[in-house]
Amino acid sequence: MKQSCTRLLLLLLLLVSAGCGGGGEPTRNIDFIPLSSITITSQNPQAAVGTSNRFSAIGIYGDPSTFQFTRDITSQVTWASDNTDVLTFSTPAAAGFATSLVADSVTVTATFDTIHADLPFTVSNATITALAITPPANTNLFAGQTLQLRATGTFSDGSNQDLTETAFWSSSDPTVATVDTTVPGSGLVKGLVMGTTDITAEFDTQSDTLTLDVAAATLASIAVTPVGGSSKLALGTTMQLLATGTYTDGSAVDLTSDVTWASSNTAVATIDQDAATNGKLSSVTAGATTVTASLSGVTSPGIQVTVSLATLDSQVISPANPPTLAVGQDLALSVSGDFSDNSSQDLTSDVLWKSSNNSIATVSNSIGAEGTVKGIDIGTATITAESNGIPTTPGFVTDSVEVTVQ
Amino acid sequence: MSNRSLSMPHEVVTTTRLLAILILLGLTFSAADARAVTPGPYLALEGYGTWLKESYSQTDIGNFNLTFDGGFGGGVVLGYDMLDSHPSLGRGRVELEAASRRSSVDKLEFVEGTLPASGDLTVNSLMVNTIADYRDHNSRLVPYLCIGGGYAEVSIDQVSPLGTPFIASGSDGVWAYQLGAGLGIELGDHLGFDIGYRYFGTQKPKFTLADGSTFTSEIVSHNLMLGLRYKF
Repeated sequence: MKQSCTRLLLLLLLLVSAGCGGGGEPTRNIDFIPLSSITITSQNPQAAVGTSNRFSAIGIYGDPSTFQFTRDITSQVTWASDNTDVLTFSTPAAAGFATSLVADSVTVTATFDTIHADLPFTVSNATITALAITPPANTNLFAGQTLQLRATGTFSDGSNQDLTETAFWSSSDPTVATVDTTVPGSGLVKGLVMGTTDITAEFDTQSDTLTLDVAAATLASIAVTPVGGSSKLALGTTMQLLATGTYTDGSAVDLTSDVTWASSNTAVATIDQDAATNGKLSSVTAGATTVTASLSGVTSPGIQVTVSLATLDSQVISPANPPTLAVGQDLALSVSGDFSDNSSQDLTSDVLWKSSNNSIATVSNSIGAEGTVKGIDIGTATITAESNGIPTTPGFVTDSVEVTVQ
Repeated sequence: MSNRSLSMPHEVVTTTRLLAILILLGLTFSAADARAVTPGPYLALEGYGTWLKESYSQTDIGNFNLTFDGGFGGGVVLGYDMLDSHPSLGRGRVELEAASRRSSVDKLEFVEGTLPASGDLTVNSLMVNTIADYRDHNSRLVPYLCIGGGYAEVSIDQVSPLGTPFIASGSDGVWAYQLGAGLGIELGDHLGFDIGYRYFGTQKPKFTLADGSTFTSEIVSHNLMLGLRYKF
């Protein structure tokens, strides 16, 4: 009875804990509360003739006494100027983007259904007296990276205006870095190769130049992948892992021999750091371990590898019918194994290769050259791949091939 | 776990008091030997306090959450207690249970925030349950485990946050399941009292929004149950 009651209590706790929580992060917007008003904001308090200006529309929904929220509806409203000779709006693709034409006062209107908002705006006849490029705090630019520059103008009336989308941008060496001149995106620099270039912003009589050094592409990320795709290996076998680095310019480089390898559970599998066997994972006991690769402060996401207790059912040496070898000629053999859990593995570097007659043909067990047959003298030799400590299923038969040297 | 209130509704308190009175009456008039139980059919009345989990509701253009206040419910059970007389079938009880649970919608949660809401969600179910009794013939107390499956009609009233209709009234029929555990107290040859817990869930019913589009909701609830069982 006592045992039964304990089981009941455990089940009850399991049910309650399983049923707790629920819900999730909502992803649906409220679309049933109508827009109550619009607020217009301007990038600049005023604009000089010949410059551009951005306006934004913030929609206010609901009632402040019950529930209210705001949403950016700049691209959903219809923009208008009450005097298009003074200020005119561009295409909907750049919603809220206006160009000032002559000095005067206008009223800007944003309309959504029956709701609209007005903003008085002034186009001045002030002339530009200075232009400055404002770089972000961090101007380190590596090949493949981008950097947003801004241009600020100072005018004859003492006002300042953001001219990023008005100024004409150029790069003295577009092979080193390009700069975007289109709206939106003006002033966006992209480093291409290592070098130096001058980025210039011009408006009317003023310009400013920023010298930019582009450094060689740097390592952005590392990915670890098992050769063969499977992240499972049988006890007694090994697995080769590859580390591929992606650089800021998008290029990918094999870093298998350069990275520092780590196995989170060396009781399950160890990973080689030797020059000849970098990235080779050797099973120790059944279980799971996470392998990472690090270089220059960048560490790959962990890849989980499982060591199973599967036994070797069968093996096949390739090619099954090796071509005839000349004396001194090499031939690479490989062997794959099928295991009791229906998995397959390349076992070329795990088996023990043997030749029935080393005076006719030898076969290598040296690291990096496993399974390589060399013709020594005229005749025929049988090459076998012994399981070499890999647990085998009863009935397992060692595969072999015949090599003829002529 | 959501922050919904766990306060017991007035109806649950009333049901609890009624059951307490019935238990006292049963204790007063029941036979003295509580262990003289025999196989046979029984009829039971149940009262529930029910707490629906926050419901993740999926629409074509995003998901929102429905939260509920604590609710109440009741049920009628017709069952057969096999005791140990049918070892080829098993020991314990089988029963047909008709129940109804109702909870009020408390809030709707969207990207922009949480809105107060009103409207009821009702689950009417017809379940076939099997109960494994852990009987000790020297005790009046009989712990049990329960598992059941059946059909449920899930209905929702119009839900209008801030007075604007969002969910239209509707219902959907879905398969349902429940797991539970509890304690039976034998009050005599015929009368027994049950106190237990039920974890009740259904397939996701499909409802309609006020704009005509549809959504599905997860319906899972925790239930505290009090019951009186009369064995014929």
